[in-house]
Amino acid sequence: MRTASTLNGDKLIFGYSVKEISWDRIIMIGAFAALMAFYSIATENFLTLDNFMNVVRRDAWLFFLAYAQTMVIVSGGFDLSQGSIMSIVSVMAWSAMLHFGFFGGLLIGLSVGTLCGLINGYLIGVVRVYPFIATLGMLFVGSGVAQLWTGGLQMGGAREGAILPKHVEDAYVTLSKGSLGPIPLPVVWVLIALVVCWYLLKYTRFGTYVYALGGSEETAVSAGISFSRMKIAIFGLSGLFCAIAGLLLSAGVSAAGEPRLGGGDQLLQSIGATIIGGTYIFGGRGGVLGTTLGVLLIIFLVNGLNIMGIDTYRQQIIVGLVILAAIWVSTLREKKK
Amino acid sequence: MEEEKKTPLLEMKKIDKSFPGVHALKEVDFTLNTNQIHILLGENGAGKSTLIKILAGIYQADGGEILIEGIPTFILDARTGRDLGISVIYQELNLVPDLSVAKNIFLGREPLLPGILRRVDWAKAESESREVMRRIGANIDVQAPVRSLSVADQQTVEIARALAFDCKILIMDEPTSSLSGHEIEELFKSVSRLREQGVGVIYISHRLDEVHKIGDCVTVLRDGDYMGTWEVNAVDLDFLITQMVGRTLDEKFPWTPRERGEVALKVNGLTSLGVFEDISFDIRSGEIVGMAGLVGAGRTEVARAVMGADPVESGSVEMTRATKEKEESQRLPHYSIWTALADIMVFMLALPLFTVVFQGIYDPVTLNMRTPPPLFSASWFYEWIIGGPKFNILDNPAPYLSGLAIGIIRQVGLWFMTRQHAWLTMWRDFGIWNAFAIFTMVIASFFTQNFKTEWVMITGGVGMVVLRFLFILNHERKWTPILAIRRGLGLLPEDRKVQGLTQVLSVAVNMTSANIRRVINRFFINMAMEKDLVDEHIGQLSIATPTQDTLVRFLSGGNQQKVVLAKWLFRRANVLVFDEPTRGIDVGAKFEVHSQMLKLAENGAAILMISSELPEILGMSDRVLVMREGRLTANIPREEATQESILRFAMVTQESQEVASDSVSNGDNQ
Amino acid sequence: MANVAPLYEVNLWNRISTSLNLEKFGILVAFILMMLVFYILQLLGYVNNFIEIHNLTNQLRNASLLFFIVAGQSMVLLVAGIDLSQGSLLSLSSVVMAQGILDFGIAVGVLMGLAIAIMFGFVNGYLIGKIKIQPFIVTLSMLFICQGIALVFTGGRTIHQFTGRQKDILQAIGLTDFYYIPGVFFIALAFFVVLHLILTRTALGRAIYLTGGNEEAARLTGIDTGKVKLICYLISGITVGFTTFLYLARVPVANGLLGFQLEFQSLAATVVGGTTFEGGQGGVIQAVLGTLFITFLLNGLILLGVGTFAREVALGAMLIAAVILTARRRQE
Repeated sequence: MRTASTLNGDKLIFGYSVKEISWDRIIMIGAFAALMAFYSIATENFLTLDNFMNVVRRDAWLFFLAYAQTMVIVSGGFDLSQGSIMSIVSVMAWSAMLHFGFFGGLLIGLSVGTLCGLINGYLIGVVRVYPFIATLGMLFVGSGVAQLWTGGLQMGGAREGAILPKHVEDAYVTLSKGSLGPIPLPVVWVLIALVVCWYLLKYTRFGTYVYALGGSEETAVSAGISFSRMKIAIFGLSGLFCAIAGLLLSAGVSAAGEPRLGGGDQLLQSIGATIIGGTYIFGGRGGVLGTTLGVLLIIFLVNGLNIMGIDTYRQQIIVGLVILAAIWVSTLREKKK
Repeated sequence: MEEEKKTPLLEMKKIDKSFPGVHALKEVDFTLNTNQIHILLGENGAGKSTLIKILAGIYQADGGEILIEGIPTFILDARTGRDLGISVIYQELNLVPDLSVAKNIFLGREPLLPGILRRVDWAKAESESREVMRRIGANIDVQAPVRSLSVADQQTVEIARALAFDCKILIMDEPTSSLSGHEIEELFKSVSRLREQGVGVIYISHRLDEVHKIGDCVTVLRDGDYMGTWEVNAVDLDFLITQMVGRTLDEKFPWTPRERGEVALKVNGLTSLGVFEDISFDIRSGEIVGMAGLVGAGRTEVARAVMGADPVESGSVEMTRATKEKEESQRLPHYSIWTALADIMVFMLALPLFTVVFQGIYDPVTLNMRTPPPLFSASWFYEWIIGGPKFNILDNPAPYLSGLAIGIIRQVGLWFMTRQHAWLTMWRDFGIWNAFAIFTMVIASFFTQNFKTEWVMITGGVGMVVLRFLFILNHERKWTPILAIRRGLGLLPEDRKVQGLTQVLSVAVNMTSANIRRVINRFFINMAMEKDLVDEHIGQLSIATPTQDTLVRFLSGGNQQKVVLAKWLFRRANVLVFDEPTRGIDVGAKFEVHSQMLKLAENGAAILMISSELPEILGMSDRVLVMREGRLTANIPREEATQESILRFAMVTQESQEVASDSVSNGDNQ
Repeated sequence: MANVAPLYEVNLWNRISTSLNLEKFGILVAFILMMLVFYILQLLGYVNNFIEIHNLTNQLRNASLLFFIVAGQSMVLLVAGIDLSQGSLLSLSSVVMAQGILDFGIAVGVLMGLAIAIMFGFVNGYLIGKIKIQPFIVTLSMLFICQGIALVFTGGRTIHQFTGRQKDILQAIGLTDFYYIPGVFFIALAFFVVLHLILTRTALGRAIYLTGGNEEAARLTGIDTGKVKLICYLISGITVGFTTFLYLARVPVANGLLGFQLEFQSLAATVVGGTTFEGGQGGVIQAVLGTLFITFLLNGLILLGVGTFAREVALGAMLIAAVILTARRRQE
């Protein structure tokens, strides 16, 4: 019998034996390092602490999306509505802030996002619709609702019309642009999220059940795990994280309510980061630590492209290609198993 | 054996249960005491599964009552069942593969540390798991992911889980079906330990030899009827069989001797690591070869490998078929030095040619497309091709050299990897090269306004070579179902509902799915012809279906099997593999399937019949192959085959096994 | 042994729906009901010009345009896939086509647009059919890749500087009506006939249903499921190409966002018509019904004064409702 190994956070990823992990991690870390090296050589400002901090500050939202998506995918589902929830939260939080101040708006924004997630969870867990379809529907409906809410316009920001009172706006912006000493606030949020998720997945019953549902749904259900409750909880949590992501992104860009916020490739990046990070697409395996690496890979990739002066459209293509390639590779490797 | 008179652990009285169309249990009684292993016997459809599912809380009985330790109980659902101390271990293992043993054991009941964080006490879970393992005498690492354990160990984990929850009543549904010799012994040891500790075990098995080895008493069900309960020592197997089946082993099979023809299927040294090893056998046309063995011996896996459905590490399958379809492989040229040279020449010249063409289309400086001259103009053709930009090797050898290099690399690589068909892939590779070049050009245009077309071509060429190699590396399987079927093979899978038919489509569509060409008339299906042929097959096989267009999922098991058979008849397949052809089918349909099988053999088909029912094997086969743990252990001609001899080859004989009469081995099919 | 318990849930809803053949006729009934509702609204004065000849003609034209990509999406759904890249592929194809028309003339331009649509259709099909990557991820990635390429190609601008002559030719194809029936309707009709024949009367059609209905069984029956899937995605690409041309023929303007979120409509129409995500069920007739339903629904809503975004919500709600009603749910 093996002697019990110390549970060193880095080495023992939940559900994975150490041997299996090494390859994935090594390849990923290698790719990451190669990317960094390439950018450092190709550009000037890449390899600076300032740059790093700024990148994470700006793209903190992706961490939240990806963590949520990781949990959903590990439990065997899919959340396609992440972008739309971000949009909804962005606009509704802004409206709420107009009337209820910063914290009121914040609270309402988070609640709205969670509510959307709970609806997803209900459809999937109780009505038993396939997650793909339920979240796809939420995607459609959500994006429509977001636009409906604002009549298609952006709220606040550079446009005319109602503007947030200055103190509210400042508070909002601080979410993203503030710092705790030398550390940007968003980094703090991300670290908190990381720790929370990691803890949840590793040390609570909830986390075990997430893996169980993904690994073998039948077994989990027959062991008494409540499918409906778990799904509602998981998707609700995802909704909450999307809400945070939406708030962060809005705060970072213009403290405005943007109904098209989630209309870009956020979803693709979140799924991409999750899969690149080693989470198995059918669930049961993976974790937030790997996802963190995946997110870092993507945001630094984009950052480097930015510094190299490549416009956003081209970036979109490259990111799309990279994710596709990563998933291709991941699929090939799964087939070999 | 005298026992104290005490309240039985479990009493089920007059349990009655019906499903639409089936009266599964007819007032069945069942009693279980503590410290007892009670064996439940019965054929397919006898009701064993239903009974235990009622006990587990998955179904609710329509009538009758259940008493646990004398107290009338109502088992609402699985959770109630578990709370009452009833644990079930199913045949399909109920574990989460990527979680560790300890986590699986405590799934749903993880111990918590005190405090608001609700942190799970993994240390406690692990130590208690180890304790349980010790109690059943197993030596399994509780931190290992279940996925890494052998099937036997996984089963032990299930037992450990049942034990860890203080179960009073343990139900085991065919636990030994995937186990071999000494693993079964270990299992028996664990179960005996459980018995000693007061647990009452209900043990369902299809292996009659286990009755005497581990059972204390045995109950037989037949078609939902309760036949009786006896102490194990008081009865012998023949008696039990008669109870189960209502007949002696004198089933009628429509077998007649027939002429054998040429070898139609030849399997050589087929090996799939961990599943089966070095399987070789022949089947001649007109022969029915039975394949016997315990469940888990690897028979279905061999069948699938013969079909090409699963990859194998080594070995080959050869089929000969007199057919009008030309054998494509015979037309492909083999690798030879001349084709290699020709290939390289083409690539060497291709690069500059493409360069010219592309330079003709794209202006490499401004990257605008040149305005092409009007199409269909003779002068254009002349200007472009004949009088176009001249290229002189000596001026600019680079494109030729790169083309040569690419060609050589490709050839060398192909030689090492496939040794065949290099010629065929040439045109496809051209296409790929083109696509790549265009793609590279488009991408390059994003980054710079100025590049040499040659570099684009070279990059494209490299990409093409890489891709070609990737293709080859990915192409592990050379033997695919498509090839097998084209050569005349047909497989009736074990799990006919899931693998044999498309449930959402109609009988007619399923039936013609393997050979649409037969009813195709210049691109379109001749509906009338299809209808007639399908009707013909329906009649021939007496398939009970309201109409041709009824969805297959509405048919009974027996009829569904007939549709699968009809599918291959429609194809005129002449090598057929039947995997458990009559499992879960009523007697009448069984006979029909057998008759059809015989008719096919008489018409020259070569048949491999995998079965777990010994009477069927003995009744229908001309020869019997026996598999045991992935190996072929016997090849017995019909005259010499007996139940004993087959069993002996099918089971491990480490110590003297009781090869008592044998089994009508059945699998439960509810 | 008697009947085996059926595979699907035997509950009241399933019984009703099977006996009424709800899957096939439900949508037709819903469509008629919807038309009636709007007609009544028209009579009541809430809606102008719904059942009115010019409106009907226009809607028929729109429906004909939509039909192509819905048909393509149906093919893909039939093999248990999905094509999210239709919209952005349309954008890309339109800009390539437009630029090609400007540079080389209509014939070459159209061919170029078609070529690129087919090419991406092929790539999708290859990655999904042969490499076996999840369709959702492949087409989602393609969505962004195609959109990116389109935007790069045009630099964000719109292409509309066709010559008068070109516009005339294009619009002759796109906007001609024969006694109030749009010309494109006939093209769509022809396409419908061809596709329906393929699906119901050819080996390929059978292979498609078999692959979608039960991929493993199809494989064991000797069908090359990878090739079948590839063909379906290829068809989807072709339909996008056709639609691009018809779009330009209707309104000769092209930009990188032309087809933005078009896949919403395409999916909604496909599913509402009765083709399911699981594969093996549905077809072009369902595509027609779904297209008509969605087109007239949107039209009615517009005339009713419902705003753009509310319409999107309605579309999404339709999608969910349709799926909940028609899809077989996972077992308890």
